[in-house]
Amino acid sequence: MKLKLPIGVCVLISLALVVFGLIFGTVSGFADERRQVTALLEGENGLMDVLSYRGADGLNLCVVARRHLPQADEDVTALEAAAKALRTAGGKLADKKAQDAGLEEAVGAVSAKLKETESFQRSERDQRYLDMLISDLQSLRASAVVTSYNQAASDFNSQLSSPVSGVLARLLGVEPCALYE
Amino acid sequence: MKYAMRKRLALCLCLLVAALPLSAFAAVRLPAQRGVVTDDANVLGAQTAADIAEYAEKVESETDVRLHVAIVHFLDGMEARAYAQTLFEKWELEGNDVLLLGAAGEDAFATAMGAEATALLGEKNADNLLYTSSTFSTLFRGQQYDAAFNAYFTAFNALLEKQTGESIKLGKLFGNKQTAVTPQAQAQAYGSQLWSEVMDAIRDNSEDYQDYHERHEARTNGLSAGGWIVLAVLILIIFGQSDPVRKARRTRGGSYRSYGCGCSPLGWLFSLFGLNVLIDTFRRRR
Repeated sequence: MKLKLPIGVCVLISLALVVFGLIFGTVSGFADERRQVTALLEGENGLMDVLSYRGADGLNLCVVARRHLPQADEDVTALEAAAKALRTAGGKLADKKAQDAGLEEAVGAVSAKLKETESFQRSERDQRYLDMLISDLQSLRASAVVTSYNQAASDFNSQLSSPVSGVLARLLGVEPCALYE
Repeated sequence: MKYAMRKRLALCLCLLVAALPLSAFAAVRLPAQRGVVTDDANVLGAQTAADIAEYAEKVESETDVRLHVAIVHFLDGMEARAYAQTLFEKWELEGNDVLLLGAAGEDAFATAMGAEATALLGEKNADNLLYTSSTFSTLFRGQQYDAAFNAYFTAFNALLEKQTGESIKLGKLFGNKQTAVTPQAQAQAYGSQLWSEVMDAIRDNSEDYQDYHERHEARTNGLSAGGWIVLAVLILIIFGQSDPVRKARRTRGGSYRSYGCGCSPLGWLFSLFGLNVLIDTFRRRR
């Protein structure tokens, strides 16, 4: 004998299947999009790595600078602190932006000071190293990963503000992504 | 029992705390291995590089010790020994490997060795090769790189002979007295293949995302052709019932009675998903 269920139960089961499909689809869809954004931020050669490499160039510049400036020079100390802060994992993106701006300022100050130093003016080797480091810092700053990350984060946030799936995602605890600006 | 549990908990906490600094470790640029000599700083002359490669071959065939040389411009904030060890691991070097690292822009250098090489040569002896057994450190800091590496490997050969009893004839190897101008000295500007490769990898990463973004845009622009076909097949299944099926639904009185319009949960599912896509499409067109 075939199992017969009341029609109300069948409707409830159908509704439950639809709701499950909605929730599952929303969660998996947004998880996939989030993965793309996270890869651009924290993945290999992502935004965090680019900032870390800029910090590394700052520390490399400190090595060159210390050959010509006093060990306790305040501009070099400030550069070292800014570079190390940028290379520390974690922290908000807004803080990283501020740290990067601090690094840029410190690099400018140290470069200007070095160019006025007599021993640096006599060292062709260190002049070339300064040019090499400045060039690399500029290339990293201008790299497309910043634009790509902001685009990915903006797209994700747009999807999160869409009706039905966006509302459902927000109810399920999906948070918007921070922009690097 | 309670004491054993507390000990285990304390050990777990210690491991967690020890692991914390590792999470703060920042990205460091490490060169890819390019043979026996990986000279990213371009400081060695061609003759010196060739001598090192030939000597490494002789050493490996006589003693199983494998030599590697890496020269970079900078260490990205790391200590020379730590950078050498990290590079040793990245290159997947093993027990019989010896890596000599130099950072030309920092006047810094270090060695990293596998367990068997350390047991054979001795860690203290390896340090002495850099500072006391040869004039390597003085020459390297004076940017006389060819002479520095010539002096190092001459002393290394003497140490190897003493430790293994194997005599490796150097012949004309490492006899170059740095009369030739090194590539770096001739260059108008310093470059780094390593840093160029890193920039290329960053660019590729962004381009990969752009490709994904374009594919994703194309997918979310309404139902695809395949989607329409699936939808049509489903509608046919739901609505296109055969005569025998319809006849079987007749009541006793002979009148035909239809059992609903054929809407099923599948229909609701598609309409809800499709509704979201439709709304998004209309919003984008505005």
